[in-house]
Amino acid sequence: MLCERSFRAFYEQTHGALRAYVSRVVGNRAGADDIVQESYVRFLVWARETYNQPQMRAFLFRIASNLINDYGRQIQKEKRDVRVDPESTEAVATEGNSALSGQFARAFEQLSEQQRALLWLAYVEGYQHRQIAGMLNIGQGSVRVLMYRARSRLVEVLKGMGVERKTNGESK
Amino acid sequence: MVNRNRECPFERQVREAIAAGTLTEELKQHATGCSECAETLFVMSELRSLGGTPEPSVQEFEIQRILLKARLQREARGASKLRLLLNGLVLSLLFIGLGAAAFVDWSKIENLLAGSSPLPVLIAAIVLVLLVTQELETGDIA
Repeated sequence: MLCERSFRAFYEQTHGALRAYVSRVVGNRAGADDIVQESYVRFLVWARETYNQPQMRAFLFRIASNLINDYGRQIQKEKRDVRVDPESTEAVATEGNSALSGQFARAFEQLSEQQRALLWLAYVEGYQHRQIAGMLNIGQGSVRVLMYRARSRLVEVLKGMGVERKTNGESK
Repeated sequence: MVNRNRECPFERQVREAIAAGTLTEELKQHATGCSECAETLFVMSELRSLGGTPEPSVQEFEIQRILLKARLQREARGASKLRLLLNGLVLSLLFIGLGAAAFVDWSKIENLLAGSSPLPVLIAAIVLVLLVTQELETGDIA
């Protein structure tokens, strides 16, 4: 088990990124906070002492991805059993750093949980397809295709919202 | 229909360059004529912008809570391992005892298993099932 000092350093390095990932994929703040906390607890219980920094980070994101999966299933079950009041869950703020971010965040929420996780892990966290496959429990060969679909779907949703992408990647 | 084999060879380079903040004019130029790279450039830039949204600062009580919960779970895990060891020991003693009895007088064991006195066999079977199910329940992984 990591000593308290090492854990604090690791927590400070990773908690912002992990919280951002979980919040954007889960879509509500309360659920995300629980998942982030549980991810660190499980990390402390199960992480091997021989892990280096990137391995520790990847392991943490893998745990979080599994918990997100469980959370998604639980929410689906609850939705089937009880009609959930949409105002009972505090949505993640849609503000970002660019003018487009609000619309982009709303479009991102239209994707499936798996699509959001895929795009986030690849584009924000910079993980390779092999690592993403391990984190999301999907075949390595499927990652590229699923990524392509997720990205196309996101662009499609944005188009539906009236956001057009210029050819150099910028938007108007 | 998606052609899975037609992937732009520069897409990965574009991705890595954006991540490293070293997107060259050459790659930008390529992206203007390649829909896949243009999409990657657009989606990745916007997503990274969302990822950069300020998050609440580290809270001491949260770290303390995580450390405490982890310690409790590790202790529970340690207790579970100890229980497994003890269960193994009990089972070993049971079989050793059974073997010793058989060595002394096998006919008694035969009578026991044949049903002349099924109670001890039944109790042993129940204990065995309980031990196994208990281990399955505690075999929780991350």
